[in-house]
Amino acid sequence: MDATGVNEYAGLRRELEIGLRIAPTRESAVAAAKAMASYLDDDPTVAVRLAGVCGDTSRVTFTLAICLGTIEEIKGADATSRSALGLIQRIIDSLAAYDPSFVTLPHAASPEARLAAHLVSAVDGEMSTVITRLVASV
Amino acid sequence: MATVPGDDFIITASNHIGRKVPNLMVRGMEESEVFAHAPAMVCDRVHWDTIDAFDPRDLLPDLGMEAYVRCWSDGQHRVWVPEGRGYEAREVIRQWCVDHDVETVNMRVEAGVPFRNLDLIPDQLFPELIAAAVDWLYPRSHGIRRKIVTELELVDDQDVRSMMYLFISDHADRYDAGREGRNGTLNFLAFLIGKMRTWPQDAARQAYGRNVMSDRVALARAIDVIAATEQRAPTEDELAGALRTSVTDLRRREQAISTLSSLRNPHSLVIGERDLDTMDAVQVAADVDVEGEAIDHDRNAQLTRAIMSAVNTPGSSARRAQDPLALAAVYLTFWEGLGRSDVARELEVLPKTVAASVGRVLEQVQTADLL
Repeated sequence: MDATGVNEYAGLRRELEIGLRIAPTRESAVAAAKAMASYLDDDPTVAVRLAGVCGDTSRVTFTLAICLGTIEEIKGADATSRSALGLIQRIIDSLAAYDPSFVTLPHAASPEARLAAHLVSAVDGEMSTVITRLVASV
Repeated sequence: MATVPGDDFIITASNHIGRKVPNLMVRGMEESEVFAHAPAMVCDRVHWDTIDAFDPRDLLPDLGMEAYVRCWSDGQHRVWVPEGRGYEAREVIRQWCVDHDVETVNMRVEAGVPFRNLDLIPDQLFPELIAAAVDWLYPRSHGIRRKIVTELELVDDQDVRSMMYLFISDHADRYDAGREGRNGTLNFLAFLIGKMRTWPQDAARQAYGRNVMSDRVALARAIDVIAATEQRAPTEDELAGALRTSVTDLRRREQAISTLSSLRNPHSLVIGERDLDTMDAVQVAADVDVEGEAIDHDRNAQLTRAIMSAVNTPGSSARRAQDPLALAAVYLTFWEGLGRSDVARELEVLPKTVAASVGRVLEQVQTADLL
């Protein structure tokens, strides 16, 4: 472990996550979820998580938290940060039909974040199946 | 080899384009140089537990064959012996334990397992290698970490990093570096990623028992199939049929899953609407302004595209063709609401650097006529 490793083990590794939300209509939520799910764990060099799911409005919104890298990686425009930029760009291009936009990440205790955590962790099925059920239950 | 020419891209097992995971470096040494100290072997493994504390090293002198001992984090005892001699070693160990009044539990042999004697790696290189693997994997395994925390009672977020260290330490002796896959030779991180996919499930099985967790997986799978094919929740009859059991037994198993996994609503989505948490319910107000929302979403999406085109033009020859710092500065300023000096402090740069980065992006966004 190097000198910086101490900080990392104390949980002080400083990374920045960017919130990116897609907002499909209810009718297209399942298709959007399928498209979005492919980005969650696909690129091993970029950490992506589902940070929020909400259906309180006319749209179903999915918020992804995409790790832009550590502060050092961001400042140096390292490969990890450039990969993250590339991933954000791919999501924006591929999911353009669902109005992808930057958003503030939901607080971990918010219903939106709790529902996302519940979806990700409590279900062994595919995300798209879960969303199908979620949308069907509304 | 399924690589995309010109870069370190690969075709993943799910036929997506991914990137090769890197080889780890420790003190300037490649991981292959570190593992070269402990070459891969094929051994038989004798594996058992004891009622009282016991150190399996005590029996090695009496075993009469070459043998290795390594402690895994589960506290059970494992002895590796040359391939083909596992059953012979088991009988010797069993007799030794009887002679020394050691009570054994569930002694068994696994034949032909890969093994490295990691004690041969000198100078603390091995712990440093594990630390490097944790550093790389931890920020990239959010889904797995969340599952671990949710599945296991008494495990908090801050425990997962040390758990990951132990998980990697346990699995390292099984790393077979020579294995060839569709994307070339398997490196240590790729090996660990493969092992980690089932980590939450395996940990839950270890904590709660194999039957309960297997039932849970089988139930989820059955529900998935019916939801995907018929777009509805399954009936109890159908679930019982899928598990080849009676409805009474199904209810008993569901209760066991619910109790043991300690999740109040373990399958509020999986088991349909029974005992649904209010947080999971999604409601739509009748007076939602659909048109207004659509305009807002569209405008935000345009703004996002404009910002991205300002910070990410990888094909261009501009000095800042890809500028993550500018995106970070803009995001912290406009979405996190931080002032210039706060952003500078967060990003460990000068305030004038923040101002310049934000200014460059805003200039391009203004030319897109969005401000």
